[in-house]
Amino acid sequence: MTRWLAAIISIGLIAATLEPVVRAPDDDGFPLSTFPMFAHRRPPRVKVSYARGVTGDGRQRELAPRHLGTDEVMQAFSMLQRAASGGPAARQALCRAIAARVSTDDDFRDVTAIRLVGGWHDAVAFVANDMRGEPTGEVEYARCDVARSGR
Amino acid sequence: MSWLGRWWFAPAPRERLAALRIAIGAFAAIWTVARLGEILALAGLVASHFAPVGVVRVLGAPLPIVVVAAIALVTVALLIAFTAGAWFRVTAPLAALGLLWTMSYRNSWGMVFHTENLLVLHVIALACMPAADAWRVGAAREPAAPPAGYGWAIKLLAAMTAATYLLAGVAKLRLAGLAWLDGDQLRNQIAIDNLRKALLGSSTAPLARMLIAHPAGMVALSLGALAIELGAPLALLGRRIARLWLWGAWGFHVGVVLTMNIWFPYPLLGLAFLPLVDAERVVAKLAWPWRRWRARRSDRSA
Repeated sequence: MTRWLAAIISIGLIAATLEPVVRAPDDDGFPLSTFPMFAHRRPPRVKVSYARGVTGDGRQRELAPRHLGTDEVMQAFSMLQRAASGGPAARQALCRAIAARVSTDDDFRDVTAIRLVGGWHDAVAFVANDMRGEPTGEVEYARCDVARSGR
Repeated sequence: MSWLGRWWFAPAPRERLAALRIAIGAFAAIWTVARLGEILALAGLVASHFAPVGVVRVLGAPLPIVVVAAIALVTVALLIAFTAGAWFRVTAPLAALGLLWTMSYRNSWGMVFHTENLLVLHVIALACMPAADAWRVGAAREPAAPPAGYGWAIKLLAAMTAATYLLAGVAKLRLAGLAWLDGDQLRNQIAIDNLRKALLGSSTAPLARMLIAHPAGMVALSLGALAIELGAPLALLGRRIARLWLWGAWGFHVGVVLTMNIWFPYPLLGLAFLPLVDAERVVAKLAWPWRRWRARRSDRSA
């Protein structure tokens, strides 16, 4: 390999890696990224979308990311956010997909319905209270039943 | 030649570049295998969640999962050959393409993870370098050193590492401005990340609660994080500053684990920073049991 070729490769790859700096910082991509992690200004009070299982006696149970079809919590969060902003059809589709996974999970056999919810939380107070706290406001995006075959 | 050319093309041993190929290639293969379950689980996601990024943008709809899995498995095989330096001129570009495709597909479901961007970029770069001129299987003897040598390639890998951290720092300034340094922004980021994890049934970070109670600490951490990111290019200037920087950057990632339970395995295992040190010594130390076994075997056959 000649020095000229090495120089071209070097300039090309460094330029490609740095190319995202000319994009809008939110214009993320892969593998060329603006790396906007933790960069946005965020107020402590936020609306978070999440899914809850509802038991026959009205209790709510926390679901796991695997019920949304992923082990990655940020991907689960992203799916919920997209569904929340995607309209009734998107919300129902996600709700039914979650319900189908819950219906096959023996640990959640008491869950009879799924709720997709958006809740307002003071994140700093929540963490300071040892990861506990109820939302100050909640809106239900979608609700669907968990269908189970007779066993 | 200008001082820049002399600096960029300063010589380095071929074994150092080979060590980077082995370490990064092995991690890439293991990482892809570890992601296979998750990649296969993509078949169960609602198609409306498909949001292609990068090269996957050529697709209008998700691929059949059999095709996705086949590409991933072939990629693993190619990465093994890449790591071993076998038929490198053919396997390396194919491995890089396969890894780029597989990881781009993984990141095309509404979430760009940022955990493997640098890994993919490094593998692409290695595929463009004479990274199999040493420590490879199947070759009778090592080829003559190319006119450009090997030092530029190692510097390029280091520069790509530095560039990614610099971009992260620039993003913070562009999105939040100097307000990012007031400590409150970092506190809110840590709190919101842990809130999401708690609400979505995942594990929260062990030090989040303790840290949020100390505003002065938050300011110091904000300054430190931004200094590491914006100061990354300084790591290219010399060994001492490179070592100082890489320990700071590694410590930053440990802090992210302890405060947000977010793991970036590539830098946490030191691989992102390996181009900044004498990689051949690190790999030789790690490969010591293998070398001892080979030495004993050749003693027995002698």
